[in-house]
Amino acid sequence: MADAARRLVQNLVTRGPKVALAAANYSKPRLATFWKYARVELTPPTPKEIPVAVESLKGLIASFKAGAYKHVTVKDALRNTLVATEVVMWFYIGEVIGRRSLIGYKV
Amino acid sequence: MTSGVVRRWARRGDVRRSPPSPRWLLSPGEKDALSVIMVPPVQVSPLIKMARYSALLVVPIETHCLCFIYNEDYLKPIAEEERRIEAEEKKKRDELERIAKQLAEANEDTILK
Repeated sequence: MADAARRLVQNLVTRGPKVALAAANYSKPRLATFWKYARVELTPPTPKEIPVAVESLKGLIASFKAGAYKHVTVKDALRNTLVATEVVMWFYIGEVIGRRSLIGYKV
Repeated sequence: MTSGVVRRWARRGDVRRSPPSPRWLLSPGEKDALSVIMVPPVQVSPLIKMARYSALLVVPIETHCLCFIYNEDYLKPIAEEERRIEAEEKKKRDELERIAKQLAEANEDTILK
């Protein structure tokens, strides 16, 4: 038991920096790619965009009242469903963050 | 056997080309090259951005506040009331048990007393 602990510490000291360096080298370009996409796609709305968003919401409601949903293609309907599902998933992520537990509430 | 006709892959010194790798096997350099050619980042509509971030932040915070108010004004008083009733009933039960024990002690007849 003490032997295994000693070997573990030895391995950490000798191979740890190399493994950490390899992990950093592996993740840096991938993180860069992720950041490149996230900067455009995942950012929160700027204050300038909020009126635009409200306008598009009003346009959406108006088109719903006008009955445009009857003429939407299956491809568009599928795409809209996917987008709506993604928005709903953000709610569940917020719930996980809020209750500070991955599954279930800790009472 | 027709001579002179050798299949492409069998010529000496010929390097056999493997098919292009699936995207997850490419190195980051190749992937970056591909991403320049392939998919630029998508411009997300502001409506979707606002919906996402309000679903992430506003909705859980709102429900948290509402649940807090509900707990304070409704559930906690009920729980206190139930605990009070439970304490009273426990007292009554203890009284009855005490009386029953005393009766039992008084009524038992044994020659060992």
